[in-house]
Amino acid sequence: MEDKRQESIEKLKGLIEDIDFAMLTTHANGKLRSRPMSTQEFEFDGDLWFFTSDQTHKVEEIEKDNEVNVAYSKPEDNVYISVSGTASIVKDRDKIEELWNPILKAWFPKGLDDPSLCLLKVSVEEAEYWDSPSSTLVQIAGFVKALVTGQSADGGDHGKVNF
Amino acid sequence: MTETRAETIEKVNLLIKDINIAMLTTIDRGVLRSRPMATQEAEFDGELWFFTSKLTHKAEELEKDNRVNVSYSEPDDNRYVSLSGTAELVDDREKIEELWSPAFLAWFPKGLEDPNLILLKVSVEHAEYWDATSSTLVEAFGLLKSLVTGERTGGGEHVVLNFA
Repeated sequence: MEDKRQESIEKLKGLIEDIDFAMLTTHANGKLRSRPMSTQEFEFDGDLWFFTSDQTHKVEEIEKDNEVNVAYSKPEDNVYISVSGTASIVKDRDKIEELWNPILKAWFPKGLDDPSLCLLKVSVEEAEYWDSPSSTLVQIAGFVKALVTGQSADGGDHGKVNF
Repeated sequence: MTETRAETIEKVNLLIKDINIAMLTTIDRGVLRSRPMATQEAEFDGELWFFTSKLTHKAEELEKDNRVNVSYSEPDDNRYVSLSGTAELVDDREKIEELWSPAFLAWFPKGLEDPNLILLKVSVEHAEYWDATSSTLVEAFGLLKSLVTGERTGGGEHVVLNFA
Protein backbone atom coordinates (compact mmCIF):
# COMPACT_ATOMS: atom_id res chain seq x y z
CA MET A 1 0.00 0.00 0.00
CA GLU A 2 2.80 2.33 0.98
CA ASP A 3 4.66 1.31 -2.19
CA LYS A 4 1.61 2.13 -4.24
CA ARG A 5 1.37 5.57 -2.71
CA GLN A 6 5.06 6.15 -3.30
CA GLU A 7 4.61 5.09 -6.92
CA SER A 8 1.71 7.55 -7.31
CA ILE A 9 3.78 10.32 -5.80
CA GLU A 10 6.71 9.61 -8.12
CA LYS A 11 4.43 9.59 -11.15
CA LEU A 12 2.80 12.88 -10.28
CA LYS A 13 6.14 14.44 -9.36
CA GLY A 14 7.52 13.60 -12.78
CA LEU A 15 4.49 15.08 -14.51
CA ILE A 16 4.36 18.40 -12.69
CA GLU A 17 7.99 19.20 -11.96
CA ASP A 18 8.65 21.46 -14.95
CA ILE A 19 5.29 23.29 -14.97
CA ASP A 20 5.78 26.75 -13.47
CA PHE A 21 2.17 27.77 -12.92
CA ALA A 22 -0.93 25.83 -11.93
CA MET A 23 -4.54 26.99 -11.76
CA LEU A 24 -5.91 26.69 -8.22
CA THR A 25 -9.72 26.44 -8.10
CA THR A 26 -11.58 27.24 -4.89
CA HIS A 27 -15.18 27.73 -3.78
CA ALA A 28 -15.80 31.48 -3.70
CA ASN A 29 -19.20 32.80 -2.63
CA GLY A 30 -21.09 30.13 -4.49
CA LYS A 31 -18.83 30.26 -7.53
CA LEU A 32 -15.81 28.27 -8.56
CA ARG A 33 -12.86 30.60 -9.12
CA SER A 34 -9.38 29.82 -10.29
CA ARG A 35 -6.12 31.75 -10.33
CA PRO A 36 -2.58 30.99 -11.44
CA MET A 37 -0.16 30.02 -8.69
CA SER A 38 3.59 29.75 -8.89
CA THR A 39 4.51 26.12 -8.30
CA GLN A 40 7.01 25.00 -5.76
CA GLU A 41 10.75 24.84 -6.31
CA PHE A 42 11.01 21.80 -4.09
CA GLU A 43 10.11 18.18 -4.60
CA PHE A 44 6.56 16.89 -4.36
CA ASP A 45 6.11 14.40 -1.51
CA GLY A 46 2.32 14.02 -1.39
CA ASP A 47 1.44 17.59 -0.41
CA LEU A 48 1.54 20.61 -2.68
CA TRP A 49 2.82 23.84 -1.16
CA PHE A 50 2.31 27.35 -2.46
CA PHE A 51 3.45 30.63 -1.00
CA THR A 52 0.69 33.18 -0.63
CA SER A 53 -0.32 36.18 1.43
CA ASP A 54 -2.85 35.95 4.23
CA GLN A 55 -4.37 39.15 2.82
CA THR A 56 -5.79 37.38 -0.25
CA HIS A 57 -9.35 36.21 -0.81
CA LYS A 58 -8.32 32.63 -1.27
CA VAL A 59 -7.35 32.35 2.38
CA GLU A 60 -10.89 33.37 3.39
CA GLU A 61 -12.37 31.06 0.76
CA ILE A 62 -10.42 28.07 1.97
CA GLU A 63 -11.46 28.70 5.55
CA LYS A 64 -15.11 28.40 4.43
CA ASP A 65 -14.66 25.40 2.15
CA ASN A 66 -11.34 23.66 1.83
CA GLU A 67 -12.02 21.49 -1.22
CA VAL A 68 -9.74 22.62 -4.05
CA ASN A 69 -8.49 21.56 -7.45
CA VAL A 70 -5.07 22.27 -8.85
CA ALA A 71 -4.89 22.01 -12.65
CA TYR A 72 -1.60 21.85 -14.53
CA SER A 73 -1.46 22.53 -18.27
CA LYS A 74 1.47 21.99 -20.56
CA PRO A 75 0.03 22.62 -24.01
CA GLU A 76 3.28 22.08 -25.92
CA ASP A 77 3.42 18.46 -24.74
CA ASN A 78 -0.35 17.88 -24.47
CA VAL A 79 -0.02 17.16 -20.77
CA TYR A 80 -2.94 18.01 -18.49
CA ILE A 81 -3.19 17.11 -14.83
CA SER A 82 -6.03 17.44 -12.33
CA VAL A 83 -5.20 17.24 -8.65
CA SER A 84 -8.04 17.17 -6.09
CA GLY A 85 -7.51 17.71 -2.41
CA THR A 86 -8.10 19.81 0.64
CA ALA A 87 -6.26 23.02 1.36
CA SER A 88 -5.11 24.59 4.58
CA ILE A 89 -3.21 27.73 5.47
CA VAL A 90 0.03 27.06 7.28
CA LYS A 91 1.77 29.86 9.16
CA ASP A 92 4.42 27.67 10.70
CA ARG A 93 7.61 29.71 10.69
CA ASP A 94 9.94 26.70 10.49
CA LYS A 95 8.11 25.36 7.48
CA ILE A 96 8.09 28.76 5.78
CA GLU A 97 11.85 29.02 6.28
CA GLU A 98 12.41 25.47 5.13
CA LEU A 99 10.54 26.03 1.87
CA TRP A 100 11.68 29.59 1.23
CA ASN A 101 13.83 30.14 -1.82
CA PRO A 102 15.33 33.50 -2.89
CA ILE A 103 13.61 33.12 -6.27
CA LEU A 104 10.34 33.83 -4.44
CA LYS A 105 11.53 37.42 -3.90
CA ALA A 106 10.03 38.18 -7.29
CA TRP A 107 6.62 37.65 -5.68
CA PHE A 108 7.44 38.72 -2.14
CA PRO A 109 10.04 41.49 -2.26
CA LYS A 110 10.15 41.68 1.54
CA GLY A 111 10.95 37.99 1.66
CA LEU A 112 10.84 36.33 5.04
CA ASP A 113 10.24 39.72 6.66
CA ASP A 114 6.81 39.97 5.02
CA PRO A 115 4.34 39.47 7.89
CA SER A 116 1.56 38.37 5.53
CA LEU A 117 3.66 35.55 4.04
CA CYS A 118 2.09 32.16 4.59
CA LEU A 119 1.83 28.76 2.99
CA LEU A 120 -1.10 27.17 1.26
CA LYS A 121 -0.86 23.43 1.62
CA VAL A 122 -2.90 21.05 -0.51
CA SER A 123 -3.20 17.49 0.79
CA VAL A 124 -3.61 15.53 -2.40
CA GLU A 125 -6.40 12.98 -2.41
CA GLU A 126 -6.74 12.20 -6.06
CA ALA A 127 -4.87 12.98 -9.25
CA GLU A 128 -5.72 12.35 -12.87
CA TYR A 129 -3.60 13.04 -15.87
CA TRP A 130 -3.78 13.04 -19.62
CA ASP A 131 -0.44 12.51 -21.20
CA SER A 132 0.63 12.15 -24.78
CA PRO A 133 4.35 11.56 -25.10
CA SER A 134 4.54 12.16 -28.82
CA SER A 135 2.71 14.68 -30.92
CA THR A 136 1.86 12.54 -33.93
CA LEU A 137 -1.72 12.81 -35.09
CA VAL A 138 -2.65 9.26 -34.11
CA GLN A 139 -1.57 9.85 -30.58
CA ILE A 140 -3.27 13.19 -30.38
CA ALA A 141 -6.48 11.61 -31.57
CA GLY A 142 -6.17 8.88 -28.99
CA PHE A 143 -5.23 11.38 -26.35
CA VAL A 144 -8.06 13.66 -27.16
CA LYS A 145 -10.53 10.82 -27.10
CA ALA A 146 -9.49 10.12 -23.56
CA LEU A 147 -10.27 13.73 -22.71
CA VAL A 148 -13.84 13.39 -23.72
CA THR A 149 -14.76 9.88 -22.75
CA GLY A 150 -12.64 9.63 -19.64
CA GLN A 151 -11.38 6.32 -20.89
CA SER A 152 -7.91 5.36 -21.80
CA ALA A 153 -7.30 5.54 -25.51
CA ASP A 154 -4.55 3.87 -27.46
CA GLY A 155 -2.39 6.88 -28.17
CA GLY A 156 -2.37 8.73 -24.91
CA ASP A 157 -2.55 7.73 -21.34
CA HIS A 158 -5.29 8.71 -18.91
CA GLY A 159 -4.24 7.66 -15.49
CA LYS A 160 -5.98 8.02 -12.20
CA VAL A 161 -3.73 8.07 -9.21
CA ASN A 162 -5.19 7.54 -5.76
CA PHE A 163 -3.49 8.82 -2.68
CA MET B 1 -13.72 52.27 -15.54
CA THR B 2 -16.80 50.42 -16.58
CA GLU B 3 -16.80 48.26 -19.62
CA THR B 4 -19.94 47.40 -21.44
CA ARG B 5 -20.93 43.77 -21.57
CA ALA B 6 -20.00 43.72 -25.25
CA GLU B 7 -16.50 45.04 -24.49
CA THR B 8 -16.04 42.49 -21.75
CA ILE B 9 -17.07 39.70 -24.05
CA GLU B 10 -14.72 40.89 -26.78
CA LYS B 11 -11.84 41.10 -24.31
CA VAL B 12 -12.43 37.53 -23.13
CA ASN B 13 -12.80 36.38 -26.73
CA LEU B 14 -9.36 37.79 -27.60
CA LEU B 15 -7.79 36.19 -24.53
CA ILE B 16 -9.10 32.68 -25.15
CA LYS B 17 -9.59 32.32 -28.91
CA ASP B 18 -6.19 30.78 -29.67
CA ILE B 19 -6.15 28.38 -26.71
CA ASN B 20 -7.15 24.92 -27.91
CA ILE B 21 -7.64 23.15 -24.60
CA ALA B 22 -9.19 24.48 -21.37
CA MET B 23 -9.51 22.82 -17.97
CA LEU B 24 -13.14 22.38 -16.89
CA THR B 25 -13.63 22.03 -13.13
CA THR B 26 -16.83 20.49 -11.76
CA ILE B 27 -18.02 19.39 -8.34
CA ASP B 28 -18.16 15.61 -8.10
CA ARG B 29 -19.59 14.42 -4.78
CA GLY B 30 -17.95 17.32 -3.01
CA VAL B 31 -14.61 16.87 -4.76
CA LEU B 32 -13.41 19.46 -7.28
CA ARG B 33 -12.29 17.65 -10.40
CA SER B 34 -10.95 19.09 -13.64
CA ARG B 35 -10.36 17.68 -17.07
CA PRO B 36 -9.05 19.05 -20.36
CA MET B 37 -11.69 20.02 -22.91
CA ALA B 38 -11.27 20.99 -26.56
CA THR B 39 -12.35 24.59 -26.98
CA GLN B 40 -14.84 25.94 -29.48
CA GLU B 41 -14.00 27.23 -32.93
CA ALA B 42 -16.76 29.81 -32.73
CA GLU B 43 -16.21 33.30 -31.29
CA PHE B 44 -17.08 33.71 -27.61
CA ASP B 45 -20.39 35.54 -27.13
CA GLY B 46 -20.92 35.10 -23.39
CA GLU B 47 -21.44 31.37 -23.49
CA LEU B 48 -18.89 28.63 -23.91
CA TRP B 49 -19.74 25.50 -25.85
CA PHE B 50 -17.90 22.20 -25.64
CA PHE B 51 -18.58 18.93 -27.40
CA THR B 52 -18.84 15.98 -25.07
CA SER B 53 -20.37 12.52 -24.91
CA LYS B 54 -23.54 11.41 -23.17
CA LEU B 55 -21.46 8.55 -21.77
CA THR B 56 -19.34 10.69 -19.45
CA HIS B 57 -19.95 11.37 -15.77
CA LYS B 58 -20.50 15.05 -16.44
CA ALA B 59 -24.27 14.79 -16.87
CA GLU B 60 -24.66 13.27 -13.43
CA GLU B 61 -22.28 15.74 -11.84
CA LEU B 62 -23.97 18.77 -13.37
CA GLU B 63 -27.40 17.57 -12.36
CA LYS B 64 -26.34 17.66 -8.72
CA ASP B 65 -24.35 20.88 -8.89
CA ASN B 66 -24.05 22.94 -12.05
CA ARG B 67 -21.35 25.37 -10.92
CA VAL B 68 -18.19 25.14 -12.97
CA ASN B 69 -14.91 26.89 -13.63
CA VAL B 70 -13.15 26.93 -16.98
CA SER B 71 -9.49 27.89 -16.87
CA TYR B 72 -7.25 28.70 -19.82
CA SER B 73 -3.45 28.58 -19.60
CA GLU B 74 -1.03 29.91 -22.18
CA PRO B 75 2.34 29.55 -20.45
CA ASP B 76 4.33 30.89 -23.44
CA ASP B 77 2.99 34.39 -22.93
CA ASN B 78 2.03 34.17 -19.25
CA ARG B 79 -1.68 34.35 -19.99
CA TYR B 80 -4.13 32.81 -17.54
CA VAL B 81 -7.91 33.17 -17.62
CA SER B 82 -10.55 32.01 -15.13
CA LEU B 83 -14.19 31.88 -16.20
CA SER B 84 -16.86 31.05 -13.61
CA GLY B 85 -20.39 30.08 -14.50
CA THR B 86 -23.03 27.40 -14.61
CA ALA B 87 -23.15 24.51 -17.02
CA GLU B 88 -25.83 22.44 -18.67
CA LEU B 89 -25.91 19.73 -21.28
CA VAL B 90 -27.69 20.69 -24.50
CA ASP B 91 -28.97 18.04 -26.86
CA ASP B 92 -29.97 20.32 -29.71
CA ARG B 93 -29.30 18.94 -33.16
CA GLU B 94 -29.31 22.32 -34.89
CA LYS B 95 -26.84 23.80 -32.44
CA ILE B 96 -24.63 20.72 -32.70
CA GLU B 97 -24.53 21.13 -36.48
CA GLU B 98 -23.92 24.85 -36.23
CA LEU B 99 -20.91 24.43 -33.92
CA TRP B 100 -19.50 21.30 -35.52
CA SER B 101 -16.19 21.52 -37.30
CA PRO B 102 -14.18 18.73 -38.96
CA ALA B 103 -11.44 19.57 -36.44
CA PHE B 104 -13.54 17.75 -33.83
CA LEU B 105 -13.24 14.49 -35.76
CA ALA B 106 -10.03 13.88 -33.82
CA TRP B 107 -12.16 13.72 -30.68
CA PHE B 108 -15.29 12.18 -32.20
CA PRO B 109 -14.27 9.99 -35.13
CA LYS B 110 -17.91 9.25 -35.98
CA GLY B 111 -18.60 12.96 -36.21
CA LEU B 112 -22.21 14.02 -36.47
CA GLU B 113 -23.21 10.36 -36.79
CA ASP B 114 -22.17 9.73 -33.19
CA PRO B 115 -25.45 9.23 -31.27
CA ASN B 116 -23.75 10.18 -27.99
CA LEU B 117 -22.55 13.56 -29.22
CA ILE B 118 -23.91 16.32 -27.03
CA LEU B 119 -23.02 19.92 -26.11
CA LEU B 120 -21.97 21.28 -22.77
CA LYS B 121 -22.89 24.92 -22.45
CA VAL B 122 -21.34 27.22 -19.85
CA SER B 123 -23.08 30.51 -19.11
CA VAL B 124 -20.23 32.73 -17.97
CA GLU B 125 -20.94 34.93 -14.97
CA HIS B 126 -17.51 36.06 -13.92
CA ALA B 127 -14.15 36.30 -15.64
CA GLU B 128 -10.69 37.13 -14.39
CA TYR B 129 -7.46 37.21 -16.27
CA TRP B 130 -3.76 37.65 -15.76
CA ASP B 131 -2.02 38.93 -18.80
CA ALA B 132 1.52 40.04 -19.50
CA THR B 133 1.83 40.68 -23.17
CA SER B 134 5.40 41.85 -22.90
CA SER B 135 8.02 39.49 -21.64
CA THR B 136 10.60 41.89 -20.26
CA LEU B 137 11.87 40.87 -16.89
CA VAL B 138 10.37 43.77 -15.00
CA GLU B 139 6.98 43.16 -16.47
CA ALA B 140 7.15 39.45 -15.84
CA PHE B 141 7.84 40.20 -12.21
CA GLY B 142 4.91 42.56 -12.17
CA LEU B 143 2.71 39.79 -13.43
CA LEU B 144 4.03 37.32 -10.94
CA LYS B 145 3.32 39.65 -8.08
CA SER B 146 -0.23 40.06 -9.23
CA LEU B 147 -0.65 36.31 -9.36
CA VAL B 148 0.03 36.04 -5.70
CA THR B 149 -1.49 39.17 -4.26
CA GLY B 150 -4.41 39.50 -6.62
CA GLU B 151 -3.57 43.14 -7.05
CA ARG B 152 -2.92 45.08 -10.17
CA THR B 153 0.77 45.71 -10.63
CA GLY B 154 2.90 47.71 -13.02
CA GLY B 155 3.80 45.08 -15.55
CA GLY B 156 1.03 42.61 -15.78
CA GLU B 157 -2.60 43.10 -15.08
CA HIS B 158 -5.20 41.24 -13.15
CA VAL B 159 -8.63 42.27 -14.19
CA VAL B 160 -11.99 41.09 -12.96
CA LEU B 161 -14.78 41.23 -15.52
CA ASN B 162 -18.41 41.04 -14.57
CA PHE B 163 -21.09 39.76 -16.85
CA ALA B 164 -23.99 41.13 -14.90
